[in-house]
Order: sequence, then structure tokens, then C-alpha cells
Amino acid sequence: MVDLGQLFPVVVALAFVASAGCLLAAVQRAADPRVRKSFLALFFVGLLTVNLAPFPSLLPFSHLHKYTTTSSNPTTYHDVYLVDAQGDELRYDGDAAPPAGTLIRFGRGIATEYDEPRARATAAHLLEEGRNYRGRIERGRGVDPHADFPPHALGYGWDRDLLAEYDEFVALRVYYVELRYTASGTAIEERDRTLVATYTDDGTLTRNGSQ
Amino acid sequence: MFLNYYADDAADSVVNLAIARVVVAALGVWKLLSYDWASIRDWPVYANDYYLLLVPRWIQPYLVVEKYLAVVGLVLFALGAAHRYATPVTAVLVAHLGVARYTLDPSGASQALFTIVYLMAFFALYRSQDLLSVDGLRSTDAALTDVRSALRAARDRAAGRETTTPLTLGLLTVAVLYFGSGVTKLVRGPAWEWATPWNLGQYTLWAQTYFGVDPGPGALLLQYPLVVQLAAVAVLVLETGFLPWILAKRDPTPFVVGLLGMHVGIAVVLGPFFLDQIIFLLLFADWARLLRWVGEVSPLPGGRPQGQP
Repeated sequence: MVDLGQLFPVVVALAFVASAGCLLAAVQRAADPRVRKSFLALFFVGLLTVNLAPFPSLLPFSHLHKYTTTSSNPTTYHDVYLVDAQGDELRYDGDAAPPAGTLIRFGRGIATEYDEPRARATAAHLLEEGRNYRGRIERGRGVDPHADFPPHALGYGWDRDLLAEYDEFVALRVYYVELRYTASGTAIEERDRTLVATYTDDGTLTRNGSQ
Repeated sequence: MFLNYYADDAADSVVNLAIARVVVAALGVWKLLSYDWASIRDWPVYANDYYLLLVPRWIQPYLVVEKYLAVVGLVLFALGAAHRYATPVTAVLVAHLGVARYTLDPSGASQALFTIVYLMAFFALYRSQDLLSVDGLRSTDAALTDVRSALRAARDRAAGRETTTPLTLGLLTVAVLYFGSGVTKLVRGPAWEWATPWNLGQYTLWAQTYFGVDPGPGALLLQYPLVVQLAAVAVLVLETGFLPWILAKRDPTPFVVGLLGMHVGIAVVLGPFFLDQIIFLLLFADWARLLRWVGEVSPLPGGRPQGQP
């Protein structure tokens, strides 16, 4: 039996190549209204399918499904921190690791999902990117932060003053965070966090208390 | 204020088309130049493995080159030059860069690259209507001495055009994207749970904690559960209702203003900033009318004399 999961990447690639081919061909023959209408019919069928069916996007057909499920109580997620030589923790700035932006899935990967080599490589990459980004901020990024397209979310981010409080980064930690809300959903009753992975720059990765 | 191009209230759409084309191109150039394409190859893992056949390791070092080719293509697109060849090829390049970014960041900011691709495709398909462009003006017989006569010539030629324009299709596409998001909330939420004050309240508290946005506005909002619930219902109505509203050929202004308000609210209260969506919604404003109004208020040299249609 063919594993559909294995087949999906091939379907994705074929869909992309076919879409590109259809576009190039349709534009060449766009003077014919039947060509335009056929292209548009295929386009909107594809777009509606990806927008209404529960499977990953067949790019270039994409959707904007955001916060589509009801929020759960408690809410849990993985959060990434850097540790300096003094042992002080600084929450990771997603902009340090482009193009990811949001690091929840990579934190979860390091802590639970990836095999050992991938988890170590990912943690090492994030630590390295954190150091590089810090260096760029400390050297002064000029107008870049103002001229660049804004990041995914407004809010937390590193700046020179914040970084000045920290020594050199030597380790990366992943926490499993649990937010419990009051029944009315208007306040956080309790915020728990558990250390689930630590990577130090000598290459050691500790997960769930075991190496 | 905003036009329902599906209902064909497309007065002066030649001017609006040209403005939309330049805005879409500028957004594309801005995003491509702002984003880091070189670091994609440095990642040992991906967020989505199933797109990797399209961006295998050996292609990743060339993404930066691809970016510059796409930027050149977008500049040609802004000018409306070589619509037939440059625009579709550039659309494919932008889509491919979008896939590359999507492997690590499947966020709205990456998705927006595909909306740019759709709009470019519509311009290329309906290029015969995009008359206020290099291609359009070159195909005009009369010698054009100034902007005014170029505008008039483009308008005259557009008089007999068909009703579907790139902006008709762009409006439907943007509406479908909201529709998909809204319907998915109704079904998966499900609606009666999604529209509770505690749902949006919890999302607000989570987002404040995660994104680290100023907690002031959210805290203020959370004091009024009824307002929170109304906001949740408004999100469902705005996202789901936009497409039927457009198809019913109604004035889209209430929905567009509502959706713009939603994005501003989300940015201020929760943190995620969907600037792309704000720009896409603004494409459907009646820019020609605004320009005319500005021209009447402060007559500029070269502007249209007052009193002319």
C-alpha cells in the first residue's frame, strides 16, 4: 500500500510546477477569453480547496487560517531562552533566527520531536544565530530596523540596553510553558514552566533530564 | 470609499489599476529586500518538510540571486513593461521564493508573497486593460505629450473594455482568503465556542505573554467581556461575510473598514501585525477619486482643471 504521507511532497511539487506551467501558457494565450476563463476556473477551484479543506497548502495556493480553533485552557507551548556566562537567562528574540520568526515549533522539536543529532544541530544553530544577531545590534544596525518590512509581531525584541545587561551567551534552554486561565478567561491564574532541554556550547544536549 | 469591482462600479479603473500595480510591486520589492534569503540554507531543520522537493539544498544558495532577478521583474511590473513575459516569469520566481520561506515560516507574512503572485497573474492575464502602463502607452497611436493626454487616451480606450479586471479578481481572491479563515473558525472552533468571551480572552492573554506586546490595551479590553464577545463575533462576521457581500455586489466599504480595524486591533492588543493584509485591502480604495479630490483642493501644475469629469 502506498503511504500517502510519503506521496504528499511529490503532489506538492507537481502542483507547483503545473500551476507555474498553466500561468505561463495562459498568459501567452490570454487574448482568447476561453483561456482566461479556464485559468480562472482552475485558480479559484484550487484556492477554495486549499482554503476550505483540512490539509497543508498546495503552494502556490495558500490560506490565512489564523487562530482557527478555540483556545485551550491550559495553553501550552515551548519557549526558547539563551543563558549567559553568569547564568542569567534572556528570552530569545525570534528575529534573531530568520526567516523563522516564531520559534515554538523549533523549541518543541529540540525538546521532544527531533532525533538527537537534529535536536543538537537546531539548538546549536539558534545559539549561533542569537550571538550573531546580538553582534549586529551591538554594532548598530543603522536604519535597517526602520526600513525593513516589520516583523511578524509587535512586542518583545532585543535592543542595546537590554543586551548590555548580559554577558556572553553560552547555552540555550527550552522551557515547556503552561498558562492556566481563570474560568472567565480574563486573567492568567497560574504560569508554570519546566526546563525540558539544555544545550551548552561544548555541544552537550540534555533533554528531559537525560543526556 | 472602497470599490466593489465585482459589481463593476469601476469608474476610473485605469488609474486605480496603475496605482494598484505600483503598490503591489513596491510591497513585493520591500518584502524581498527585507527578508533574509541567505540564512535559509543554514537551518538544519524545517517547519514544513513537504515543500523541500521544490527548494532542495543545492538550490538554496541561489535564492539570493533569485531575489534580485525577482526584484528586477517587479520593477518592470511596476512600470507595466513586458507584461506578457516579465510579469508571469517574475510571478513564478516570487512564488518559488515564497515556498522557500514557507519551509521555515508558514506565517501570514510568507503567505502574502502568494497573494502578490496571484495579483501579478491577474495583471498579466488582463494586461490588455492595464493601459496606464509602459506597454499600454506604447500601444497607443497618438503621440502623448503629457500625463493628461495619456490619461485621457487610456480612459477612452478603456471605455469598451470587458467588466473583469485584475482588481475584480484581486478583490475576490482577498475575500476568499478571509472566507477560508472565517469558515474554518466556524467549523473547527466551533463557532459557538469561538465566539465566547473566554476564547478571545485566553488568546489575548496568551499572545500578550508570548509576543510581549504592551499589556495595557488588552487589560483594558478584558475588563469588558461583552466587548470581547462582540469583537469575536465581529471577526467571524467580517471574515466569513466579506466574500458573500462582494458577490452580492454591495458596497464593500463597511467590510473593508471593519477588516482594517480588525488588523489594527490585533496588532495593538495581541501583537501579530498583518501589514500585508492592510495594504491588500487598501488596493480597493477609489484612489482615482481621491486624487481628483486632492487636485480640486490644491490644483497642481499638470493636474486636471477643475470642473472636468
